[in-house]
Amino acid sequence: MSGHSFQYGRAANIYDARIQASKPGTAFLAGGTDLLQLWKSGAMTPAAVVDISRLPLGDVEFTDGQLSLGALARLSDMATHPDVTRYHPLIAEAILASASGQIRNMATVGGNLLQRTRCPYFATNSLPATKGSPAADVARFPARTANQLCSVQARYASRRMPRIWPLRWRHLMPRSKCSDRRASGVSRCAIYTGCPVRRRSAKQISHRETHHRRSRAERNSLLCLLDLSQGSRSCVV
Amino acid sequence: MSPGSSIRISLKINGRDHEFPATACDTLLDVLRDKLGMTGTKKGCDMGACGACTVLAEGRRIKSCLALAASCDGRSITTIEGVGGAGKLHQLQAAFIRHDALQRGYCTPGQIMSGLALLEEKPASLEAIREGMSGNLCRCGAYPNIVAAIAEVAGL
Repeated sequence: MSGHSFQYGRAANIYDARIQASKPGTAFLAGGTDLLQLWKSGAMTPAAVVDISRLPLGDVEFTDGQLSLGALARLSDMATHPDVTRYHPLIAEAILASASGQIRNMATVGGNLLQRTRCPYFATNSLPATKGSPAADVARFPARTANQLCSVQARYASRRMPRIWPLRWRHLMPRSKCSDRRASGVSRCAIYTGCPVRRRSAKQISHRETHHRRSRAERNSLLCLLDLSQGSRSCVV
Repeated sequence: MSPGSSIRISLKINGRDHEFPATACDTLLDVLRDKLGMTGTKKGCDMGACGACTVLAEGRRIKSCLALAASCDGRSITTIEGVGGAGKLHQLQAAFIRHDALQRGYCTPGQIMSGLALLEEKPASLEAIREGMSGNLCRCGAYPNIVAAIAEVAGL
């Protein structure tokens, strides 16, 4: 248990959330499954948390070929949503192979994308030299892979609302480099499977270049919505 | 709310309303055990891995060690103390006994709470039960019997 204490505040609305988050050292709290683990291990020491878990950002809607995922949609709700299972079955499959039933009931899709690197080597404050190098993280740990490419746009609430940051989900092959190096306005996430360090076949949705996306998004931007466009394809190799 | 200051939290636990002071950093697990004396819910890893702290929040199984008490304010919580009653076991509890699904018993409250929620999801096979219960660890290795107990109640 971390000895570090933090302040707690609950956001009344999106604007209130951003105002509270504008204070230095404040972290958003949604499901809490990432934040509390990192806080307890000492890897994160927020001065305050702003609880956004009750904001109305959890809807999952499918309209005109586009799947919209509210950033606060629980992973379990996403995985069992009929439109997700029908039109994006790989996402549902990946979610159901992630974590556990309890965690999926707590964790949100936005928090899942924004979570810190999941490898235990990075979730500790005793190995500072290994932080901040997502490419090295992938190269070090080979994994069985599923190859999926879909186009995701993320809408952030920021001063110039709303802003759309395109996200590209790509599964990274072991020791391979992502061929898409377009940097302007593109942030990359990866879905990878079978981290041998954990010796489990659980598939995890993990954000690969948080440092890049955070540098693009404005400070204290709040992820609100993910839009998956029609035409997403997936294949397994 | 400042780090050391106290806030009043309201929870409906096993059908009863509770109001008590807590701090910003108190987890739901901590308030259940330390402030309310409900020690049926266990603290194992305290990191969201072992599942010994599993409770139901609004009918959904969660790991109470990863839930801030302040974040749960106003919620309806079910703990192992709310399952079955004096002299009357829940059918899942009775099945755990029949199938010898415990040894030390430390993980058992979490297993029961998680199993109750899994039964609501209507698992279709033993494999689905094993996968669905993957958030609950048992160091004594009673897994086959835990699965058998849940399967019996599920009608598999």
